[in-house]
Formats: sequence, structure tokens, C-alpha cells
Amino acid sequence: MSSFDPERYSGINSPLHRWETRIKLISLFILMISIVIAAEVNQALAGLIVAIILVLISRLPFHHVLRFMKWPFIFLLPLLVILPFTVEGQTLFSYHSLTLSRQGLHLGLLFMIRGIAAALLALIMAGTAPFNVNINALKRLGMPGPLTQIFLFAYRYIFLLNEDLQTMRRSLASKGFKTRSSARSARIMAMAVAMLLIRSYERSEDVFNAMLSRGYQGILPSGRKMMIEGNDLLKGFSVVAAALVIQFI
Amino acid sequence: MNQEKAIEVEDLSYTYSDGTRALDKVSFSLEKGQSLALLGPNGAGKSTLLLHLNGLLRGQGKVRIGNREICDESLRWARSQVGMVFQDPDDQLFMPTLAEDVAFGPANMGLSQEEVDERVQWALQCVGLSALSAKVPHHLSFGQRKRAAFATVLSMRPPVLVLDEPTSNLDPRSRMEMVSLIREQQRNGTAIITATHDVNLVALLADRVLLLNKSIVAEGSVHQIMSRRDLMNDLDLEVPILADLFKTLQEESLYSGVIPFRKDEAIGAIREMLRI
Repeated sequence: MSSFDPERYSGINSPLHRWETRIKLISLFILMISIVIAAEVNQALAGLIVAIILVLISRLPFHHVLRFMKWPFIFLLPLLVILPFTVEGQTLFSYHSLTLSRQGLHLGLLFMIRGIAAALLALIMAGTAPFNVNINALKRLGMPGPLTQIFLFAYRYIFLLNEDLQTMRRSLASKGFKTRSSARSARIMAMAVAMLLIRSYERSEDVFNAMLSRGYQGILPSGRKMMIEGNDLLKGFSVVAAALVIQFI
Repeated sequence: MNQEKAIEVEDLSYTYSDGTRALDKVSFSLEKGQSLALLGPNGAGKSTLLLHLNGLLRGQGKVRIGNREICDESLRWARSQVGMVFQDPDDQLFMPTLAEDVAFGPANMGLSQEEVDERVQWALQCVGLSALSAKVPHHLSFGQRKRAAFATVLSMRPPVLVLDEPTSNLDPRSRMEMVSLIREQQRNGTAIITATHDVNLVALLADRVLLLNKSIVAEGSVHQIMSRRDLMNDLDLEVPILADLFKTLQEESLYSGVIPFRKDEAIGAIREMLRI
């Protein structure tokens, strides 16, 4: 099973990778908000162009970006296809009972462009710094400690859980099991998932013991301080300025 | 000689909530710089005993680290004194990067960032993983994860190390690397307790052996305990292959010297037999 790893290229060198994470997250979030509240297609298009420029600056490989973007595109495409024919308004084209409206086309394009631009910005956020760096930055921006720990441990153990799941699937396959749409198949899958949950619970106890044995008292060590430099602020101001310009187009 | 004792267990008993008796009046002690191998069949209580040594389980009886008994007040201190390496490294590597994992213990001890950094570098160097400090644990091989788990405890520089099956599932080269790591820590004065099923490695890992089957069955030097087929077989354990071979030669009156446990000892014994 192929899996997409958003932080695969988090170690490459680009102005966005070198950008201080807190400032990066705040600036990109403001830009994202500016794009998703855009009421006009030209505003959203301007936002999309800014997002594409940022992706180019980030030096994230084209195939990596495409691989990620196929999912938001597949999710948004039905809106572009359905809305022009379902929203009432000025008729642009008509064929039998099908009527394509200007307002529907406008809405479909707007949703599509806003969604693609926001997804590109999300990829930059997730893809230009390791996950733990992003989470630590969010913690320093005020995300509650328990939530930080949940995210960090979920990230660490989701891969092990996946490994366990793959082992279990291979084990089932080696005993001749094939997934079918039958009650027996559903029962066996349910039991396998239940076993996975029990194992996860046991592992969580073992991990907790390992944490306690190394002095854990409910708080994760915060690690080294993050330094904000003038260059980081300059990048931040530029992106926020772009967000403001989009609103005044 | 209580001053020299790194760890002392006195009449320790433990029963799990389902009524299973895991430990029954276990008593032993270990001096600074000594290495003890803990042997016993599955379900003998080895892991349960280890979990008592830094207060993760609390049974009846006493556990002392140095001369201080583990109790609620001393629990935090005890955990900084007894470094515990679990059997499955994935239980021990819970932080997003290797460096953060190795820093976890020292940071919890309240050390300064500079001191934490210095210890992380030192511990990773000890286990030969300095170049992988920024790696995510799930990108490491199993052998690397085992060594990484060891580093997470080394960085706390505890006077006592407790190791649960440190060589299990390792390839021969990784096993020998782990053995030399353990011995190196012992040479530095660390007291080490190792639970293992790997009887052929015991002579390389430890000076003393403790046979456990809920209670202590036997305790003594490697030579005293590991060559006794009766004891080992009663606990469904094997006699190490070299010892078994020379024991057979002894029984057939072909050999009369000391039973060897290590390759160099065996070569000496064979030379003696052949009078080279």
C-alpha cells in the first residue's frame, strides 16, 4: 500500500524551509483565511497565484505536490461540475433540461480555486518542516500541552499501528482469508481490528511505563528555544501584505 | 558492606490483580560495577522483578537503591538512579526524533539545555548513532532502535542499568555490539542487571547469575550455576553449548579441567586436551 508522507521533503534547503516555523504558520494561516473568504474569482485567482509562487520558492518536487493535490482536486471537482447546473441564475448555455448558469459557474470556480490554493498552503505548512517542529511551534503559540502530547504520540505510533495492521493482514491472507461482502468476512475483520485495539492499549501501557521510568511527570520537555530573526519577520510581512492585497482587489 | 551495594532487594513478593503470584520472597543484592544475569523460564517473574527496580511496580518487601528505599518520596530520585531498557525498543522510543528521545530523561532530571545537549551527544556517540540524531525512530532499523533505546537511558547516566532482553531479535553482529556496550558500562562502574534467555551470551554479559522461578532457585557465579544441567533443565533452560559439550566430555572422562563458557576458554581447554 503506497502512503503519502507530507514531510518527506522537509529537510531540503529553501527560504520557506529556513523560515521560523511560528511566523511561517501564522503568516500562511492569515493568507489562507484571506483566500477562503474571497468573494470574487479574481481575488481567489490572485491567492492561487501567490500560493503557486510560494510552492515554487519552497522547491518541493513537482511530483510530490501533484501527488498531494490529487486528493483535494478529486474532492472539489464535483462542485465545479454540479454547481453550474444546479444554482439558479443567468443562463449561459442550455441543452434540453440542462441549464448552465453564470452564478453557478462563478461559485464552482470560486470553490475550486479557493480549495486548491488553501490545499497548496497546507502542503507548504506540513511539508517544509518536520511534523514535530510544527507541533512544537503550535505549542509555543499556545496550543494546550495535553493536545501537543496527543498529536506527537499519535504521529509516532500511527506508523507502528500501520505496521501491526499490515502484519495482521498478511497473517489473515496467509490463512486463505479474502475480504468479501459477507457476514463472516465482516466478523473476522471486526475481530482483527479489535485485536489491534487491544494490542494498542497494551502498548500504550508499556510506553507509559517507559516514560515514567525516565522521570515523566505529565509534561514533555520543551526543548531548545526557537529564534526569530529579521529575515523571518520580513517573509511574514510579505505574505501578510499579499493576504491584504487580495482583499482589496 | 551496605555502602557498596548498588541495589538490594529484600523479601519482595508481588501478586497481579488477577491473583497470579509473580514473585515470592525474592532477595538479592548487587554491588557497584557488578553485572548480574537474570535467568528463568517464561512467566518466571523476570520482567515483574525488573519493573520493581525503579518503582514501576510496588510489591510487598523492600527495594533499596544505594542505601535508600524506594517509596513515594524517593520515587523520582530512584528513577534517575535506575535506568531501564525495555525489551521492545518501540515502547521506549516515543518522541518524534532520536535526539529528543535521548534528551527526554536528562530534561526531566531538570538539567540545563547545555548539559542535556552534552549528554545527548555523549550517549549517541556511545551507541554509535551520532549521525542519526535527527532521524525519526520509525526510520531506524531494529538493531539501531535497540541501541537507540539504550542511549535514551545512558544519557541519564544512572548508577544502575536494568536491561530486559537486550539482545533479543538482534543479528549476531548487533548482539556482540550490544554485549560490548553493556560491558563498557560495567567497566565504568555501573551495576547491571540483565534479564535474558540467551544462555550462550550470559558468560559474556555477566559475572553472576540469578535463576528465578517466582522465587530465587539459585544464585552464584556463571561457572557455578550455568554448568549445572539439573538446575537448568528443571527451569526448561539450556546449558550453554560450549559448557554442555565439555560437560559431556567430562562425563566420558575425556576432559577434567574447568568447564569453559567462552570461545577463548574453550580454545585453551582444547589445546590442553591435545597438549599443544
